[in-house]
Amino acid sequence: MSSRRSRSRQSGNSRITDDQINDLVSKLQQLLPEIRDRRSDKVSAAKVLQETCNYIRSLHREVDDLSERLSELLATTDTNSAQAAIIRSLLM
Amino acid sequence: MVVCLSIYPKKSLQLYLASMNSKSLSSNPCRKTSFTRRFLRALAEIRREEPNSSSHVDISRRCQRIKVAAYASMASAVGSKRAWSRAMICKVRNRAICRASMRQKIKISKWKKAVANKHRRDVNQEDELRRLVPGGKSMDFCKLLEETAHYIKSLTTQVQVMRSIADYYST
Repeated sequence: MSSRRSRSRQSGNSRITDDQINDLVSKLQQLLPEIRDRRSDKVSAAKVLQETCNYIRSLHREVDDLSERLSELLATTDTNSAQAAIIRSLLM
Repeated sequence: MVVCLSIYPKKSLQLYLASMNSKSLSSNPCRKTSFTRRFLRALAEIRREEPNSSSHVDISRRCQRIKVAAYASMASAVGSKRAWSRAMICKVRNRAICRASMRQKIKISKWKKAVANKHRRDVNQEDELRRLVPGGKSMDFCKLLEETAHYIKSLTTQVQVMRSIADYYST
């Protein structure tokens, strides 16, 4: 977040400063693929929150799909093949 | 069906994995290997315990077990230093202990809550986020954002590993 408007004057009692929140929101922004690719500085915190929720939901859906795929594969494949080979190929 | 990991003496596998950790990886390598090992172990166990059929009922039950194993393995790999992983570990443990009747009661109360919320006009994004991140209900906003960032990183690692395993098995 480029601009650092100090709104903390209005919410004087909160120990969590707005700057702290802005920092965290910008960190979150870096993780979201959509917003990161758009390279826009002027993304509002509300938009970041919304995109975060959408992104987490899509990740959950991917886990569901992959679980289903693995469940079908588990029945048909032979898991005796070297697990170290799997780990090696994963970490390359 | 013998679990394959027992063929490799534990020490050599660990040394092997330790040497893999020294290669540069963008995500946390320890977390990734820890998750992979745990998840593969769980998959082997599921394969041992579940019938090998391709019927829809068996596939969906295996699917549910695999899903729970994936989340549980990731939460264990992260450990207890994150609030979300602690909450996830508790949820998985309670799920195992919870009796059927209790589970039904919890389901009904959740359904009632969802019906009540359905008519709310504006969906508060913060509340939505709290619902999505494990343990999110009892955190202050700052903590929620921190935990969300870490949770997203772990989820992407989890998806990456699961996809690689599925691709490996489909070849």
